[in-house]
Amino acid sequence: MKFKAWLKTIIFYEILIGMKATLMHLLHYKPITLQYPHEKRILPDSYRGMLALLRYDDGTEKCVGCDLCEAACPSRVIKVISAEVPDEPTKRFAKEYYMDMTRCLFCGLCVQACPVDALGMTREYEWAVYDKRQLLLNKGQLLAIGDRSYPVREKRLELQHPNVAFFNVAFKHLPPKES
Amino acid sequence: MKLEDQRTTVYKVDPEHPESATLPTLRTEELLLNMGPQHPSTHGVLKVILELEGERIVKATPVMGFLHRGVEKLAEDGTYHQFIPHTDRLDYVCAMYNNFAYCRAVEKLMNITVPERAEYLRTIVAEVQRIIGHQFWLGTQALDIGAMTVFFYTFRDREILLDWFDELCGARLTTSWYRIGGVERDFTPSLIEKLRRFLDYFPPKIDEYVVFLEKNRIWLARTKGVAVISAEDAISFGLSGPTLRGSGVDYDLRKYDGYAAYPRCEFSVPVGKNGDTYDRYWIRVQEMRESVKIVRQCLDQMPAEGPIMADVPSVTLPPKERVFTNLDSMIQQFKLFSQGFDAPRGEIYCGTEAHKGELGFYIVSAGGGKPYRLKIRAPSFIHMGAFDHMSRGYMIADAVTIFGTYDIVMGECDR
Ligand code: SF4
Ligand code: SF4
Repeated sequence: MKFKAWLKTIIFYEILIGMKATLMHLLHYKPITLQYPHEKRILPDSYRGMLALLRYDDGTEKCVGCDLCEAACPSRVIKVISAEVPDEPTKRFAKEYYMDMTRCLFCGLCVQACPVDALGMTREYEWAVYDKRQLLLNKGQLLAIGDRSYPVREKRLELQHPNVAFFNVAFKHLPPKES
Repeated sequence: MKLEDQRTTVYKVDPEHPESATLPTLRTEELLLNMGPQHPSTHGVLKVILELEGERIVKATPVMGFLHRGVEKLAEDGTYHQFIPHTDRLDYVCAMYNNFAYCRAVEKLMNITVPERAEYLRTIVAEVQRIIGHQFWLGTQALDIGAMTVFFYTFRDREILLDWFDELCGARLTTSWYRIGGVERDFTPSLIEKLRRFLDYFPPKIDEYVVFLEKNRIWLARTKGVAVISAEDAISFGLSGPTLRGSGVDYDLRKYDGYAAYPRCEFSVPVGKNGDTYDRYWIRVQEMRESVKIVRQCLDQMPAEGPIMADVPSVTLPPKERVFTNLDSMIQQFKLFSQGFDAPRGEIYCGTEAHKGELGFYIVSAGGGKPYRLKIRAPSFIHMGAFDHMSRGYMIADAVTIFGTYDIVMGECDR
């Protein structure tokens, strides 16, 4: 027993078994790393990447300027200035919409908060810039991100859910509710 | 006078009167060494002022706060829901545990019962996070000690789980998946299948990690009998988790507090004997095996259907479909996101067994939608308190392994 232990000591037995485990991998060698700029990981659909503003299938903006995303955001990324749609006193929209992406935590609370699903998280992540000011996005830029990331757009909310709360969209042609 | 003369005159001893010689006495004093804050193995930005005698540590004073971001203060500024993403950034390698501990504390404050399916989901994800945490620890600790291979192997398997998290909640590290009263998203069949595949794949891999370490004389020399702490000292320093259990104290909140789905699972709590780094390593390896068992049992027992969010309209967020279709839910959504819920006055402490130790949230509520004060009992911080005690008498090189043995993450320590 003692001799065995001594033998193990002088032949560096632990290194041998470690090398064996490592060399075994050489037999079925399969790289697990990705050569990043050339190969990219396939991201899941639920990926929480860059934020975007979305549109309905008829091209109108979904956002109703309700400010809830601004209230929900834990790091005060969003700034919404809402206004009434001209000639339609019950309809509102976001006149200006800014996001300071330098502070965003990508937590998804704004997306969860939005009552009309006007915000979405895309699978974009390559947003490194040289100038920090380029990360202060306005409404046009956010809509553009949405347009390129969500080519399939949803129907208007009141068409998806006929009993939708009326102040939400103020759609004139909605059939009156029974009850 | 030339330099040579100076030397000869000063050190010259008169042979007639040797006692009158002014021999220079060797000055001995302790050497003060600043280790960090940018030392690669301090796990973040930790500075330790070491007082050394030769290579032995006489006194070690950790200087913390380099990563202080005022998280506790931030909590006072937002609603209870808004703090969940900030908890991700406490212990940034294991965000799920922070979410879990925080949500549990708020649920205790608000007296909410989580639905059964959500309890199982939470337990599964927490245990997966525990596996990730221990893999991370094992890899970095081995790296600190000089074994590079283990690091690659643990990170290879950790990647699988992080990608699984990515599919679950959309982020690999900053997960924010737990919500007050439940969880954000349900498992999909593909997630369950991937997890089951991982559970079959993983146990042989643990043996593979162990091969590199268990018999390795360098690993044994650097861990056995290093950073020993007795059970009494460990308790009086307030240590918890594997650091406490390594000293032979059988204390695990999962077992003795019995939250989430743990009481319905069979698992054992590994307990060490000697209270040294090796025992803590052994415990962590065993805990990985136990976690695999827990996840497997939870997957089998989990109800196939059921709500994943408690239905307490004044506190929990309504599901999105209801917001679109139901006016009450929409009002609730607006109220919860803009003002938060009305918490009762009172204080609550709720500890959760994270993989590092007991992660506790202490909330003082003065009513209203925001906490009046929130205190985080971060295991890393408490463990740093014992650093001086545990490192006295060891070599400088051991200081690195002693931080490592607590599994500290400075994000949590400085908060
Ligand atoms: S993802 Fe989070 S931090 Fe970013 S804008 Fe939305 S709520 Fe704010
Ligand atoms: S919550 Fe949605 S609808 Fe309201 S302002 Fe924000 S993006 Fe627009």
